[in-house]
Amino acid sequence: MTAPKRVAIIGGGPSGSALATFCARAGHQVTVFERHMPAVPVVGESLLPFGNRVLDLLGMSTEGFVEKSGALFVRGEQAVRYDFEESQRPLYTRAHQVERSVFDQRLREVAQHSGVTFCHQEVSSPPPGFDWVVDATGRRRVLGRRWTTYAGHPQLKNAAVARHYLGVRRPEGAAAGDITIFSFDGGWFWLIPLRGDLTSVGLVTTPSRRGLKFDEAVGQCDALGELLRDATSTGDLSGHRDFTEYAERFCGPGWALVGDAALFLDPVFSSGVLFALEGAERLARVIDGRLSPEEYEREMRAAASLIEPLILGFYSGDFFDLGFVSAEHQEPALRKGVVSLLAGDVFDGAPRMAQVVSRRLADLAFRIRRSNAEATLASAAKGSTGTADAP
Amino acid sequence: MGGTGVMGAMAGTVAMGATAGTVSRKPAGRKLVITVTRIEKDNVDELKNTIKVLICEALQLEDVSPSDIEDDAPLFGEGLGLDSVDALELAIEIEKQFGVRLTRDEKDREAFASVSALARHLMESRKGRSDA
Repeated sequence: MTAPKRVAIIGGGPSGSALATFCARAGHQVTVFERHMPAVPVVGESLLPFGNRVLDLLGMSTEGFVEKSGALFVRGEQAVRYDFEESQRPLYTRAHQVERSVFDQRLREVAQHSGVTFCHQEVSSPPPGFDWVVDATGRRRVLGRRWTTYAGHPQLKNAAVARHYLGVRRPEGAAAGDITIFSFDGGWFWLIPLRGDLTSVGLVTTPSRRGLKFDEAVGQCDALGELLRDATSTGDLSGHRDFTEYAERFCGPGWALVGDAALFLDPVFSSGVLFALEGAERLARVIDGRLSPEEYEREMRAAASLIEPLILGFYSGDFFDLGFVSAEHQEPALRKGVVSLLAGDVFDGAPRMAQVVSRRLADLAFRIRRSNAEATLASAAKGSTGTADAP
Repeated sequence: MGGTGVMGAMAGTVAMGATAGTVSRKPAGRKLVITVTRIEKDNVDELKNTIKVLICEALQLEDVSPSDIEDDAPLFGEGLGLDSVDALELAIEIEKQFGVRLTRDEKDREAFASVSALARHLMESRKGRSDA
């Protein structure tokens, strides 16, 4: 425990509000500077089960949000569903799909309840008179850009465009509340059921399909087009680019970064809010003198390094090879490892199978493709020699 | 693509939680590098040594060093206490390093009995290949 600090947090999104709450409860004087009051709709609407650890610590209610029990991945004719209960360590098995304006506003109320002052103000330079100034401005990285440098990722350079709809059908194979990911060559769609009749639909494109328009892409994806046939959009498209970045340093004298302002990899496995919340909980301990800045940064990077191969595997196709496979070819423990990663169990010592899947993803996918190819050749050979097939 | 990626390269060590099985694991994130990957015709001892290094590094065993592993000690169940997931990782690493494929069938499973058995299997596979 340290003497009370004056903490300025720029940004009232999940990372900023959560950080504010933890710091205020530890006895520090916290002010959040936020340019949109009340909270406005933003993307990042699908949460992960392991995000509940921090939501529980905050005492944050998830009442009224759609419950999410798993994820459905569709590629062409194939679909595979993962239920979070299949994790190797099923501590948290349910998450939620959230309208961010409601979720963010509720998180702010939790902060205000803990004694945090919210200042309705846009900040473009570090406010004076604080012991700590934290950039929680998300992908804008307003202050981070003057404190440190950001690197892009050599392979991840995607862009997103999203919109809300009413009257979207539930995809075949998806349980109620599931997120569905439709993958196609050069990109993918997300389908997130929000409440009642509202659904978030997003298009993510890789550089190979840059310039592909939302409606064009829907037109090319038959499965999705069918689900949207009688749906109506409720607003404009929101666009997002250059979101994959990570800072060289997360902390310096009197400053720190949290959430997307520190690091963001890719939306495909819905890890953004998890990292925002886990980062906030840790940075609060740094500010309170109970965790070193180096340890905070190391833990965040370690968690990201576990998810990164899975993300790269999604875009390379390895992730699908791992999923679209018959039981006899796959070690059952591997599926638990995949689900552990999907559920966000990547902090505080991820389960062993999650570690194995993460570091061996490409090799495992290769072996599965090879097994499948050999099985196909074997049955083709049997067929051509005219021998009777085994029943 | 795959491997440790950009984040992995920057991550350094990772804290490990409780693991199943009897062996404890090193923090993850280190890349395995083996310089000797050719199976020398008469150099069984060198091969066994390489296998022991490979086991420790690929499976990230914490309290075990290559010299702790006896040539004929069982690798699975008793002895070293490895499990089926270790077998899979080991098979992957052996194929990458030696180019010899280990499958799930009987003969290959015998190869996993001990370091000596593995060394024998690798030398036989090598001989088989050069005779072809």
